[in-house]
Amino acid sequence: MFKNYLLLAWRVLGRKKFFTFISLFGISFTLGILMVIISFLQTELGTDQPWTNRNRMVMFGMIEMRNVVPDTTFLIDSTLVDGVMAYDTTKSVGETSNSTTISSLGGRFLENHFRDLKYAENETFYIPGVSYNAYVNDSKIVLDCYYTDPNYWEILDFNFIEGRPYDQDMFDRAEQVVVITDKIANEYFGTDEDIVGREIKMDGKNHKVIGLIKKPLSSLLNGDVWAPTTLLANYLGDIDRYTGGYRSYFLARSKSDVTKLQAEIEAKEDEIPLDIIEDYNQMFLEDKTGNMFQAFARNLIPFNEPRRAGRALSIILIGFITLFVLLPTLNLINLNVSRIMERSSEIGVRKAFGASKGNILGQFIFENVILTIIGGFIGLGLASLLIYFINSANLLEFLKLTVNYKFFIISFIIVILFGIISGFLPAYRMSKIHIVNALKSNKL
Amino acid sequence: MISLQNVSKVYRTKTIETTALNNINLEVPKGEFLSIMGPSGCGKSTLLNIIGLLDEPSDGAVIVAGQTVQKYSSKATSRFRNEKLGFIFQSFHLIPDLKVIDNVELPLLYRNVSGKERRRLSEEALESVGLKNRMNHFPNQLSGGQKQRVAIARAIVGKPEIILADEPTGNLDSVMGNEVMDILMKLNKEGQTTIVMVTHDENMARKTNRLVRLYDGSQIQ
Repeated sequence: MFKNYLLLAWRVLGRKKFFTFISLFGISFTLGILMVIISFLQTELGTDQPWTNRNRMVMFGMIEMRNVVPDTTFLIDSTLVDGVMAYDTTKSVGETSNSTTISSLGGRFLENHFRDLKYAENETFYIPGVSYNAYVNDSKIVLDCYYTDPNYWEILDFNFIEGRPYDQDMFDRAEQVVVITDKIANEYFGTDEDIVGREIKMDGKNHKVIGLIKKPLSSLLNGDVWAPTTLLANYLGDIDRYTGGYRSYFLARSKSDVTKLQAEIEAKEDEIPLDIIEDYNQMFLEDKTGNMFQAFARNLIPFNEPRRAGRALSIILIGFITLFVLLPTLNLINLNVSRIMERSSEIGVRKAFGASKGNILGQFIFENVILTIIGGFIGLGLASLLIYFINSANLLEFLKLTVNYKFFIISFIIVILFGIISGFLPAYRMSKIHIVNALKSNKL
Repeated sequence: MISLQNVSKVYRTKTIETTALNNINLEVPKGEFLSIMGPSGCGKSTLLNIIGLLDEPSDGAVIVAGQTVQKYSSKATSRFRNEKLGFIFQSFHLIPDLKVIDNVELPLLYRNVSGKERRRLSEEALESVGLKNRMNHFPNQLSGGQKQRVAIARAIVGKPEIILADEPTGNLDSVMGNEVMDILMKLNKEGQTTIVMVTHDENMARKTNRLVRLYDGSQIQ
């Protein structure tokens, strides 16, 4: 029976070339864009290296301090009573902040209050985005350096092409060592082979390369060089400073511990003494703890709280994808209704010769799935082209999209669902058509 | 084989009530070739549709091949139509996107018959209407008479006990019409198939065993 349906589907598509073109265009275009979005989300939110532990990770890195003082407001109402001006004064006492600082965190602040948390298996405090200029063959290269502790390499799972990361001993001895990306190796040395053991000049000093990693594909990691934080003078900062250049990642003991860890970090807010920071009398962990999706959301949506940003982004994404899929689906349903209506006498004949509602429903959904699968493959090709274009034109800085098997499977599931959804409604309607009326349409 | 008892069919809209069939009583024994005649709109096709379980009567009982028909939209009725009935339509109703052989095997798709067996039975049915050599053609490559012969092959491929033909020669010239009629008569005589045929053509009706005339939904002969 399926062979018969397949044959018929193929011939119907061939006969109605314009309809087929419109349908395929809609399906492939929608799916193409959808696949690019999936690829983007997967690159940003998936668990590819180095984000293998993404589901257990929590990050935070901003503090806000305010000096809040009482603020009295006088409100004077004036009115004319019997020719004489009368005054009514009200006074309200509120608060105002006359000084605010928003900054990333101090190293000592993190060490004192956030090392060895109950629900954290591991944590790393690091300084991102320190830029140095390097000169190779009279041309300038910008080295974006991350200063980290050795825990960093345990939480983030980088793909080491060669060598290894620095360990606790090297960190403690403040050895002049670095880990670099293959991208910067190519720019600096002209090759990414046999890099370990070579030296890179940064901040006026030679650093020995001990590890070479593949450049991570993520907007949250845009570094080229990683070095031990201990290389920086007074790397933890002053004891009385809560602010500094640090950010942090925490690794929860399990996925279910993530929210507990977030709560634990936030509870610390109340425990931190304020008498050290003389100029301020209030303190907030401004960039409240977020898991990786929430942190990603906060990059896109200007909400201070990562959790709110995460919720907002989820709603936006679901809404956008629903709308994006719904519109062409409705369009396709509409096209399908008219296409199937044209075949009502065929349905009449089939039913007269014994086809049940289920047979009719199955046939038309099957045809639609075939159509969407063809559209899906075209869409996949389109998506690959788009991704190639986005990558080669460097439209998304620090981000390289990929087409891989997960991407293909997700896309394929979407294609099948698309076919079933857009085929079901018109097919169901037509399966209920009265045989006599169907035969009267007489279009065969 | 077919028994209609006090069958009426009334079409109702908000404002008008039209009686298509009025208290029809009809007995068709096994192996009979019955023709139904009457002017346009007298209810001939409605009667045929009711016998073929394609339409429900407003009133009365329908017994076909020993079975009283009650629920028309059920799966069981679909199966019953598939196994016991074959249809031939005035305008052929062949599926243009399917080859002749695929059109013929259509009723067998809804039975548990293997692909190989379907093909064998369809070729056999086409052979009996003299069109085996055209089995890989598409309907639009055939003449009107050939199309109707393919439709007959489709109607008989499942070896039904009853064939219902709605003006099978109505769209054909007299030569082709006679060819089609000969095939139907042969089927009736050799296969003992019960045939009910609606026609406008007095000459064709005269070739059948019995003639029923309808006028304004009532049986007058």
